[in-house]
Amino acid sequence: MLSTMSMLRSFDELSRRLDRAFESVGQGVARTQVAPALNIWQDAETLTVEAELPGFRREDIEILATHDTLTIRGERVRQDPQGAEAARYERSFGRFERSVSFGVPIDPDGISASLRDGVLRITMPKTPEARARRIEVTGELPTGTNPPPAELPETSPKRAGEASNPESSRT
Amino acid sequence: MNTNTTAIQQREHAKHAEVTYRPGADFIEFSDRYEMVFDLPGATADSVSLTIDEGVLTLEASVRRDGDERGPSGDNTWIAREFGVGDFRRRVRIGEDIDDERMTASLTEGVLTVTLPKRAARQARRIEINPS
Repeated sequence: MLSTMSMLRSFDELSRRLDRAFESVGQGVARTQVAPALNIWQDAETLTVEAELPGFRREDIEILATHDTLTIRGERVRQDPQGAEAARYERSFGRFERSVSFGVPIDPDGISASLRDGVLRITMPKTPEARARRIEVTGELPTGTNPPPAELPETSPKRAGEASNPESSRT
Repeated sequence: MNTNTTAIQQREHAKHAEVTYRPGADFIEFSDRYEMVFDLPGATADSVSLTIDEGVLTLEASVRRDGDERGPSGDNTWIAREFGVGDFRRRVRIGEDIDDERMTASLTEGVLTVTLPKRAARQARRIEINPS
C-alpha cells in the first residue's frame, strides 16, 4: 500500500513539474477538441442533442436532418490578433462535421435548435410511428394477494383528442 | 431490464458528477498587454470568478444546471454521453510585469477573454545636471 502511495505521489509531482513548465498551476481534465463531443438523450417523443461549441456564432453552424440522421457542420475561425508578439494556442479552430444516425425516424419539420453561452442544443420530435408506446397487458388478473378487479378504477377519463392519438388510446 | 439499470446508473452518475474541467486557453502577448482566452461553454458572466493571489490567477466558472437540465430527467434516457458537464477551473502563474489592478475580462458565446495590461515600462531617463 505504501508503494502505491509513493507511486501516486511521484506521478503527482511529475504532473506538477510539467504544469509548471507550461506556466499553468494545478491539474485538471483538459478539453480542447474542435469536433464536438455529443450528449444525446431521449424521452418517448423527443431526441435531444447537445454539443459544446464555444465561440461559434449561429451563422458558423449548419444543421441538416434526413429521416433518421442528423448532421452538424461548423467552423470556428481564429481572429488573428493584430500586433501580437507571441502566442501559445491550446484552443482548436477549423472545420468540423459530425453525423449521427438514431435508428428511429425524426420529424424534420419539428426540429429546433438553440445556441446559448456556447452550448448548442437540438431538439427533434420522433415521428408518431417511432414514439414509444405503453402497452397494456391484458388477460386474467392473478388471484391471491391482488385486490379484486372491482376495486380498480374502470378506465382513466378520456381527454379531448386522445382517441385520435394512437399511442395514448387505452380503451 | 438491463437497459433500464444502465440508464438509472448513468442518471445517478450525472447527478453526482462533481467533475471540474480545466478549460483550454490561448495566451497572446502584445506590446502593452497580454490576453488569455478560455473556452467555457455553458458559463454565464455571473458564474465566472477571477482572483489573483500571490501572482497566481485562478479562474473558476460554474455551469448552469438548474432549470435547464443538461441531460435526461425523469423517464428520459441517455443515448450517447460523450462529454461530461461540469464546472471549470484553471490556475495560471502570471508575470510580474502585469498590472493586475487594471485586469479586465469579458465573456461572450462561452468564451472568456482576460486582458492583462503590462505595467508602464520604466524608460531610461537622462538626468540633466543643472549648472550651479
